[in-house]
Amino acid sequence: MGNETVLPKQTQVVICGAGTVANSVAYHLVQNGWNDIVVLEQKKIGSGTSHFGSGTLGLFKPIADRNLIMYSIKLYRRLQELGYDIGFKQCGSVNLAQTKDRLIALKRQMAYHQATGLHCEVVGNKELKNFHPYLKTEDLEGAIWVPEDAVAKPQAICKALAKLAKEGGACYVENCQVLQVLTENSRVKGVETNMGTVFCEYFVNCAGMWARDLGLKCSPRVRVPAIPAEHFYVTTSCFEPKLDSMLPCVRDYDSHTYVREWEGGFMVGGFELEAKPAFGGSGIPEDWKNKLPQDWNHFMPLWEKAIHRLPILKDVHNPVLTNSPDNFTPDGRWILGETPEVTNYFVSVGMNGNSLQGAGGIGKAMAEWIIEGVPTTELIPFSIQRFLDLHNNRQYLLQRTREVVGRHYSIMYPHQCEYKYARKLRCSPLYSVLEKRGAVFGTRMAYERAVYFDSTYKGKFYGDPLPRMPPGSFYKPKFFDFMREEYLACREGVGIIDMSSFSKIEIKSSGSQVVDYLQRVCSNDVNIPVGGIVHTGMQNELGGYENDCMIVRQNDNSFFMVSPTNQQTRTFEWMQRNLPPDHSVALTDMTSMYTVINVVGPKSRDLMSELSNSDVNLLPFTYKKVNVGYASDVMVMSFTHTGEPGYCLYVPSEYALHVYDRLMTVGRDYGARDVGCLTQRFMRIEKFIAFWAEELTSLTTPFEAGAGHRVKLDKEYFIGKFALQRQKEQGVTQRLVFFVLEDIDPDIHIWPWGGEPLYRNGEFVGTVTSAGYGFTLDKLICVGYIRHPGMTMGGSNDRPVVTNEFIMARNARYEIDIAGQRFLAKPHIHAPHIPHVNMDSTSRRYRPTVVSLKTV
Amino acid sequence: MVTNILRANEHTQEFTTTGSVKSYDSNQLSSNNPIEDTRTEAQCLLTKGLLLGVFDGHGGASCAQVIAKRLFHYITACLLPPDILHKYLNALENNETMELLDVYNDKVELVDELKILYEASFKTFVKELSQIKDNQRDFQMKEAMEKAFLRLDYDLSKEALYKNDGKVNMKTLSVAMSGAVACVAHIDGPHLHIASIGDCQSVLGVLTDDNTWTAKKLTTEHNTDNQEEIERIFKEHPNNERDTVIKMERLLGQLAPLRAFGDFRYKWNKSTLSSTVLPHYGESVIPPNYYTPPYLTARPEVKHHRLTPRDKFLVIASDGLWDLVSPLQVVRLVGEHMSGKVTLSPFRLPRKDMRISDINNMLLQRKEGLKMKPIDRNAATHLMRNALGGTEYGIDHVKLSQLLSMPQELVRVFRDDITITVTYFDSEYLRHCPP
Repeated sequence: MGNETVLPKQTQVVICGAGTVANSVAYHLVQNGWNDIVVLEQKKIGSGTSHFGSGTLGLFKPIADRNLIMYSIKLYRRLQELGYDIGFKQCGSVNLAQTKDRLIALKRQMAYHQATGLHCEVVGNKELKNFHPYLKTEDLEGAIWVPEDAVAKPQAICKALAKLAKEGGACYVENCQVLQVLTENSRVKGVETNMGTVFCEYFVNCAGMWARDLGLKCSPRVRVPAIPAEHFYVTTSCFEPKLDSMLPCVRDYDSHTYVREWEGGFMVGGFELEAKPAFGGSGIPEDWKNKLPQDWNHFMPLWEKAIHRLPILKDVHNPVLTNSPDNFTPDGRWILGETPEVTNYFVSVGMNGNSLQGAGGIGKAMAEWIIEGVPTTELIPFSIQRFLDLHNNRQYLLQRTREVVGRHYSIMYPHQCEYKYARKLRCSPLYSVLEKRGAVFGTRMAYERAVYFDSTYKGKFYGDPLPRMPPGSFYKPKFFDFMREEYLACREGVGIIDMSSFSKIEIKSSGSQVVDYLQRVCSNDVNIPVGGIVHTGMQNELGGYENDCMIVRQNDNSFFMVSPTNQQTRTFEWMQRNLPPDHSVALTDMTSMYTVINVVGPKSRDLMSELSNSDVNLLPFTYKKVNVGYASDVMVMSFTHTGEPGYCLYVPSEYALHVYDRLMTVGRDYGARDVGCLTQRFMRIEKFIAFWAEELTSLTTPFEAGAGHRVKLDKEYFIGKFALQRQKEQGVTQRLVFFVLEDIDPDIHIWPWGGEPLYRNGEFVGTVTSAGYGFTLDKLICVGYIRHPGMTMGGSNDRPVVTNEFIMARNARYEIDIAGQRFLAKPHIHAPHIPHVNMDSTSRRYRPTVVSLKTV
Repeated sequence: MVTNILRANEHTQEFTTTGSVKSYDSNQLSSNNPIEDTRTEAQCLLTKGLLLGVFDGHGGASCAQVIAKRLFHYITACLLPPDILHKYLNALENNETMELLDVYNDKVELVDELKILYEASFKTFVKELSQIKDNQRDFQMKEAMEKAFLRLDYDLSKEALYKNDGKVNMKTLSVAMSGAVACVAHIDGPHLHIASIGDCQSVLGVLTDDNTWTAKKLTTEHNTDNQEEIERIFKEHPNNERDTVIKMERLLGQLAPLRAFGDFRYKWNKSTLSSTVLPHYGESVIPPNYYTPPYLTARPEVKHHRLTPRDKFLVIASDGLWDLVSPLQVVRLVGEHMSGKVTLSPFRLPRKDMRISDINNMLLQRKEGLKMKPIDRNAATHLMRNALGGTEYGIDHVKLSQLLSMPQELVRVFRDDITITVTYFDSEYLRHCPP
């Protein structure tokens, strides 16, 4: 095996592209014994963007990224040991903080890295000089030393992996251009090329910056939302004397630059705040390598900052500026996984400027996913299913790419770092009205959602300046007082929340097939009376969550499903994949047809009965169609997403403004107030309501998440039943726990925001999945999965069982590490009791309240 | 002169603490001499809540006066949770000051003799209350109010029948021989309770969506217009009394209200009446067809209403007002008076940076309001003036002065005593108050 000039007629897997990622996928497939592989390359192996790149391998990243990069480092070290000259050096890195907030951001990252076994430490300015004598350190707040970070030569690794893949049996065909990916029933069938057609079972798109165009060469089209941006680095000639080759890499985030030793000199690269899409934003030209201008004007501000940090650079003569375009994605995260459009069509692209560091781990993860049929590690953050068609829109990508590059080095304030560009794309019908009422928006799935409402906003006319989010903070958000008002409205009056971004799918059949279908994909019993609503998970074979949703029975053979915003593509794909093959059940995405308004709080019933002029005293989890104001057929459901009493209104969108206007006008007398999604989030955390993608993932089950009561093991087969049955008998190995952080003063301390490690008697046992402020408890709160010490996330069955006794043991002392400081965390298996506010005003009895006594 | 007569008994109380009541206006106009109406308003001190009452006496003023003085204490005691009640009792027994009520505009003083007697009765009541176990567990406002009314009535009876050295106390007996109807409102946050006996009435002024006033009656009068009341009385007495128990639209052909405090000549049994009352009041004290007493009760009808931001004010008044104007007229008059009152206050900009056009609009609004500017600041006075002198074209001053200057013997034919309390609610508070 090796390079072929003739295209085979048939193979199991076709990989398109022969860059580092593609070669890594091929290598890991053959390692796992799958060697019937064809790798198609339009030019030569490694001739794309893989020969560029800084070659740095940085582990100081979110945990999911780090796990894959960690494996990359292991793999490359082994390659070095095998004798490949790949220039692998574990020189470590120093990560600089110029501001206090940056240091908090780094320490927050350090907290979870330390808990999970990555060595890193804060170093003072003096020590820093020892690590890197050329650094100017006077203006720094601190730095983090990561000794395991490494560098290597991208091209050498690219070639080495290709060679090993070939030796394992992979067939490489160069100068071969893919014209079309062939499908049958939305399943990969083959690949048509300029050298003929090859039939195959699997197709892997690793085409780097050509991946988006390649995705379009398929029917149905496959979305790969990533476009190349210009990406710059400068190399100097060799210093005299040569620089120490073990000089650590420097990430100077606040200057948006990084520096590494490079062949005796320095390499200085940047993630500039305002980047430029490559090739002027048009397609990739044939001779793209000649269309990469050295834009010194653009890079100069970064170069000056680099000189400030490394004064030695001042005297460098003739530095060479390289423009190395690379693919950036709308959210700066890799794009991995099987596409929702075509079965067996896999994608791994979007390396965001550094293909080397991810390639090793990504190759392994993708190979295992292809072989096992399901991901074997946590890949949700990278899932290709997080996108919609709009993300693949070129205009959208061009706008978003401008800021995505720089965000890699920006401080990501929790819930307070919204995108600037490519906004106002998906808007609720209420958007303009809410804006005038002081809404400050953030996006989820490009959907604009009000984060909170600035109730002091006075703008009235078009063009008046809009309310703006104040600068971000890791402490109490600066707009927190507004949130407290919003909470009070939900607790004492009426809170109005626009929830239109939730995904809605209608499921129906002509006969009763839809019931059988839903009973098979849902773990709860969905054969409920017409007019009923049921909260259910959809499980995979391992019992993990694929979806967490509300199912509404509209009539015998028609259901309506509501699931979280970021689930739109993923759910639809999962449900579609499990449809009966006879087309008897139809799924329709109805997301845009309804405007969803939550009417929350003790006075919501009085308000709704006045507005609808009918009895809205509904049993929990039922719905009724009523008229609201002049709008007819509004579905009023008796549940809310905050856990407070109230209603969820599904309003045909053309009536949305009318209904909202009535709610607000009449609601004035009931203390109605707009409520944003951040307050809603805090409220649901306080009610211990687990949420998709945070607590509920494909690797967590209902029993682990405390939602076992929603699993009906006594019904007939459903997907995941056997795994859940086993788990019920044997017990869970991780359990979601609610913590109250008694010792944290919300006005003084840094808040938990998610991702913080949890310790039990000093041993690391879990990570915070959601955190916030418990308005009713008046304390900061968080939730997270607790395991036995030494057990990491995911996988095997032979782990010790986590019991309530273990969690609540008298001698168990829990702590949370927030940016390096540990605080006591009080565990709860169930949410602490919060007195329910009764909605029914007429049955509310009067009791005299005692005035504080003034005895003489 | 007219204005001086009308305003003689005016009182306005404003509240600065947060709560559902912003202020109240009250006023009284006498026709009898002395006036037989009384009124009391007071803040509860140990529990939250404001009490407002209008009492309309008959057959003499003494019963109404005593009720006005005493009833709120009985109510407040019934509202106390057991622990507070015990503390209060301890304070009573140790002669420490622990006030139940802060009474506004209280001008009447009882004679010392009665004061001591009443204090003793009340103390006994508190003691008995405190011996009831766990009475808070199923606290019912209805029961609390009923208990307070009935117990006070019971004490009135006991005090009248108590003989010192075989001698009847003529003071307590005259209280028991006169009667009084009552309407009491208890307001705590959004909870409004009305307890009423007889023919005083209370009406809520409600401003609807489309800015029109509607009247919501919160009491039903206990007189012969009330069929349910008649049925109740029929049921309480044997069938053969049907023709006599209600006669000429009166109880036993004598008493107009069908529930009242005092009036023990309709409550005590015949022998008590004969032995105790007859010697002092003569034969006629025993009503005709008096077979199965009691015929009269002081048990109040209690209604609960949750105040909404649309409920703007509450009018409680004796029948002297309702004889002249309807509830809706009353609500309209007060509503109109409210908008007049707004513009009477000095003009102030509500905030800085206002547009000239906005200020102009406010001034135009004020001009409209000023046209209707009422003569009286006190809504109760405004109601009296309009009830007595109102015509289609405005106040008829001649008619008004005639009615006010009638000779004593004639006036009772044309107008009764009038007592009015208008309580204003804070809509902003009601919008946001916890449920």
